[in-house]
Amino acid sequence: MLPVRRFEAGWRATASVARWIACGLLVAVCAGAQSEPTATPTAGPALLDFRTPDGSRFLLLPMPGVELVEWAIASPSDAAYDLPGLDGLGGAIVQASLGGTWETGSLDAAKEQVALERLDTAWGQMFASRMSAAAQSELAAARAEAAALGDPRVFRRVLAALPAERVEVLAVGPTTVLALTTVPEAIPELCDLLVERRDRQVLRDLERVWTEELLQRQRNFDANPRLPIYAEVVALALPGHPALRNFERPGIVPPQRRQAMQTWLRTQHPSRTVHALVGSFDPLAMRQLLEQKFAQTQLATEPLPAAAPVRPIATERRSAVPGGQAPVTAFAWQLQGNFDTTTALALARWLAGPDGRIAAGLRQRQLGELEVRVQAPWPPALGIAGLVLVEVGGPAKAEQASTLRTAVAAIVAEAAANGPTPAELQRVRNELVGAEAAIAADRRWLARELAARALRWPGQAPLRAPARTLQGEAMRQLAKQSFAGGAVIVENTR
Amino acid sequence: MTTSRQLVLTRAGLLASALAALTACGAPKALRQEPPPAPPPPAQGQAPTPALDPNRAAPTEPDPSLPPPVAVPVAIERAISSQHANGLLSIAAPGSDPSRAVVQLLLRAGTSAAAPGVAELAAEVVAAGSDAGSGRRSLRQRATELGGQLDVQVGSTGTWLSLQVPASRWQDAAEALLAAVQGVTESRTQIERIRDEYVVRRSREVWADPTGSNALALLHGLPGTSASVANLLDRDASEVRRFLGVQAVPGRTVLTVETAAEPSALRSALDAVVAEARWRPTAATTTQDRPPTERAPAAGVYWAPAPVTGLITASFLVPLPDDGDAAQADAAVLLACVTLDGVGGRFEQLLRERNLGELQFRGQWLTTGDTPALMLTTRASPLGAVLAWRAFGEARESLRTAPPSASELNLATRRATLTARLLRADAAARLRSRVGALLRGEQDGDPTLQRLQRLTERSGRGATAGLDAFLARPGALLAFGGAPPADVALTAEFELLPAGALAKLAGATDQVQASTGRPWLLPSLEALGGTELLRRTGGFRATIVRRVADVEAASEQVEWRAPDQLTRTRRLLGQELLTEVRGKDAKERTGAETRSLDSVESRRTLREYARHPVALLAAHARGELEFRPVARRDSDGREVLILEAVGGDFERLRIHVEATSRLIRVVESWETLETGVRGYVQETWSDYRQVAGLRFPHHVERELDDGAGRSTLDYADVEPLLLGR
Repeated sequence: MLPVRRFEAGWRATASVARWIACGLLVAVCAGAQSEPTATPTAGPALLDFRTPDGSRFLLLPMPGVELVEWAIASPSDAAYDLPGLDGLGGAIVQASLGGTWETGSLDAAKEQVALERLDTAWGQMFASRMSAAAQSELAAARAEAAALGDPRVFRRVLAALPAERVEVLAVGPTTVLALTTVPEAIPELCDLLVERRDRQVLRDLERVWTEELLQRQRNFDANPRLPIYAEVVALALPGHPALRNFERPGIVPPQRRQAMQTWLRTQHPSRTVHALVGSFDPLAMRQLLEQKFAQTQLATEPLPAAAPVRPIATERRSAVPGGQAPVTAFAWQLQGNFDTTTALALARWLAGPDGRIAAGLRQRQLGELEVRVQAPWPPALGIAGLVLVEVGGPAKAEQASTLRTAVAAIVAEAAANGPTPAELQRVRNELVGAEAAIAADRRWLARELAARALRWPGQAPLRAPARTLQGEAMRQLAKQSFAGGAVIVENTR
Repeated sequence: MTTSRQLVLTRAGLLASALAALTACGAPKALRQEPPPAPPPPAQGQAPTPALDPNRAAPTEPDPSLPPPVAVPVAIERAISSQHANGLLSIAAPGSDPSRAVVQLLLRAGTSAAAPGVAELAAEVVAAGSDAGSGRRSLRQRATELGGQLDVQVGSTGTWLSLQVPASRWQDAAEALLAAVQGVTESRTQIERIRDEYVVRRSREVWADPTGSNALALLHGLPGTSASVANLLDRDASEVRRFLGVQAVPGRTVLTVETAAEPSALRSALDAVVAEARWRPTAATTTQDRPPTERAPAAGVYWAPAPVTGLITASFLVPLPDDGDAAQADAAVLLACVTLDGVGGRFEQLLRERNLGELQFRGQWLTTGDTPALMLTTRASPLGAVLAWRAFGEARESLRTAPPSASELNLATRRATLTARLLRADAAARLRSRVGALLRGEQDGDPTLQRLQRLTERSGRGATAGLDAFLARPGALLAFGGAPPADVALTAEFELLPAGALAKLAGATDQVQASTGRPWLLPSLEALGGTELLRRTGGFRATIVRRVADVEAASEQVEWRAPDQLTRTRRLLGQELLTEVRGKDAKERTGAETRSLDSVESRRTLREYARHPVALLAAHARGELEFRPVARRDSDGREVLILEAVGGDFERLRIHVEATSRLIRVVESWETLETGVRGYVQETWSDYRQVAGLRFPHHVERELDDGAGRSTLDYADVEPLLLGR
């Protein structure tokens, strides 16, 4: 039998909770003092949002519990940041960055640089000469020379010893996130190592990492029969936008080191990265430490190409894509107006699924039980409002194609006119709260999401509170403005 | 007590520590170069890329005055338990997170209390079962409605259902958990449906993550996922009903709530929820279904052979002593002496000595709910996998013959502390551990973390006390693919899934119909002059005038024959430039000066003519170039077919065919230039005229890279060249 409660014990628990709340309030006040970006208004944990002197954006979310810190660093891996023809390079270089720096992993930095340049030339020659025997021989020799001068595993070993665990690189929408777990005691050393990784990067082992990345991208393309449909939707709805390249099968074009380093500068300059730290730590001490450690950078700013303009869809645009086993009709509208991401996500959930507005409307119109998926904002890309994408698993019969198109247009128009019913709004709210709860329950996931969201939607609060902020009227307004525009319709044909 | 300051390491000290475990002898000579030597001079005409320059200053050294941002520890109050009249034990556990609550229901019976698969199915029936009669929705649905997360863990001696919800909803969550157990379905139809759905879901999980799924099966003492899924298929609904009838009763149930609240108020509220619950009368026989059977994690070599050559996937599964076992902390420290989750340590040292240093391992921690284990996964040849596994065993055994040094233990203790905290990072896992300790009559707290704290204070000294417990669980090698080497004593061969599960999975096959653009292009071939004529068209002769901004920039006489013959005389600013390509022999002459073209330049020059619409369709008619259809677009009343070239000498090329006329209107192509930059060219063709039986486009507008460079080309005096002439 356990000891019965004591008055003192209850008081101490209350006091400890009060300390956390006070800490949260203090953090919120400090965050409020930042001009831009602003702190998330909180009902739950307080998020501290600031930039360090080198321009890095930091999100600190202290949470009570086990003494761990989840650290996630998001950087762009959007097609707009990759050099043409080298899509995926933004993600590959983050992976390659774990191969170490000129200080960590190199036996002789000067000699290694020469060896890496030789390797770069040899690798390019392999492709130019269509893998001639001479080129293969030179590549093998260059590899051996580079391997003798630099060890790509040392950096990971140093990280492991800090200790930092679960060091991994993940693609999250249009961003790449480097995530790791550490203990608060190791944060000062980790800061130094991360700054070194950023400023003194070698991109050791790039060719292997790039090849693996390329093969993975090709496998992903081959495994997803919907990608050609998505590519066509983007081609019609966002003509000329680089997001299209995310849905096309990548070609085999090897990056040169010069290009990889250019992409490194483009994507890793502190002003273009977001760090999120979630866990058990003292937020004020953490901020002080980060401001000292991330005080300056040696990276130059690499300009980006001008963003492709998004032209409104004036009239309906249709296309048919061959292939696929099951019929699919994709509809897309440009998202319009000044909306927040939660509203766009809610719009998608309102319309999607077997209980969603579109599936119900199709049933009413005797079109059967058709699978309905909706995504918004879509596609995952930086710097655009995006589309609302509706995918309907139909028509069941080819002759119903026209009826289906008309029905979906009518259903979304009706939805835009009336907005969600209270029951629909409640369902959507529950789903969004559940989704956020799932993220919040896993601190690693939370850190990853916070960093990626802040990078993708820099003006919006990365910590969402749909239970408090979601409004049915905002959903209706977004639907009304978006569905008033022209639609893009892409069907697959068999 | 170790202060946080003591744990701050200098950079040099850290590197030394990192290497200490690895470099007992002849470790890799990875060093930091501070300051680095002078860099080599940049290539002529090329400025050094700033961040590539190793001669730049390294980051400044850390300021030792800054302390690590360790949070002030929050004292957690002791949990209070209540034994209710019906036998149910409830525990009010004060927590530290004011926003979230964890509500956990433990049925004190797990895999060891019934035939294999029964406990797992029973847990699934509790989670997914509903009651249409009373309107009770499934626990999973309720979790979603409450904005919460449901976690189900079936260990050897207990089944844990955890709901993490917003703090304000904990009572709803507790009611939902109790309702799911009290009102668990007895319907055979529903149980069978849940079983079938569960088998499909498990099978998909196995396909998605064969290494993790099999490792978990082995931790449960089963020889792989095939056996695990087969057990599910073999179970009858009556067995699940019987298990739940015996185990899902108040006397075997523990309900715990952890949230930041005043303990007595929490206990009162929890007692009220428990009192509200209406349990069904229990069956007369409430004895255990069968005596518990111990299932230790499997050990040995397990192989899933497959007819593949080359590298296979191999995973090492290294279990630690169970949660609650005092030796778990020591074992975690000793494991960190062997490897830091696949990096460094004695294991990496042995691999290097045996020429297996190229193998790279990915570490992942798994838990059954009772037993944590490290899984190290790599890609290796079958022999390499076995040799590495033997090296791992020797690295473990070396701890007995060559006890870890002080620096090894110091480093390993820090690492083990991180690992132990990680295994408890999930609130449900942490609460399981807390409740487990309470049920064992231990102090409210985690014995492993407490032991690690003591070891940290002594820099790891004393961890070898757990050596026997660590070595008592040798772990298992799981190999996927290839065939085991002849001299390996296999414990078992296994399949990923049994046939029955595969049959249930069948339905949506992944076979994609190969589609061809040939039917799409047949009308185009006819529109241009017919397949036969195009097949014989091997090139053309023409005069081409290039204009930039409506000003004539160049004119040229061209004779091109597919695939690699070109004679071109270009007149540009009063100069004449002659280009001749004859297979691999390619040169360019200006006046008296002649230079050779390399293969990249000559191929790019040839491609300019090869992508002429007539050339493309002629190649297609001869079967030299295939197209795959991409889309049929209808935009602003115009219908266009988009096709992409497959094969050929093009990096990537697409054509837009007008649906009504069937003429190629646009050719898009992508090319990588010598600079490495990938260029995009869009050519819009018009002015189709009849020439020797062919409709030949005479005008093209060419755009380079988003309109950055625009020119027009006009063809004249066109003469198609037939093959054999």
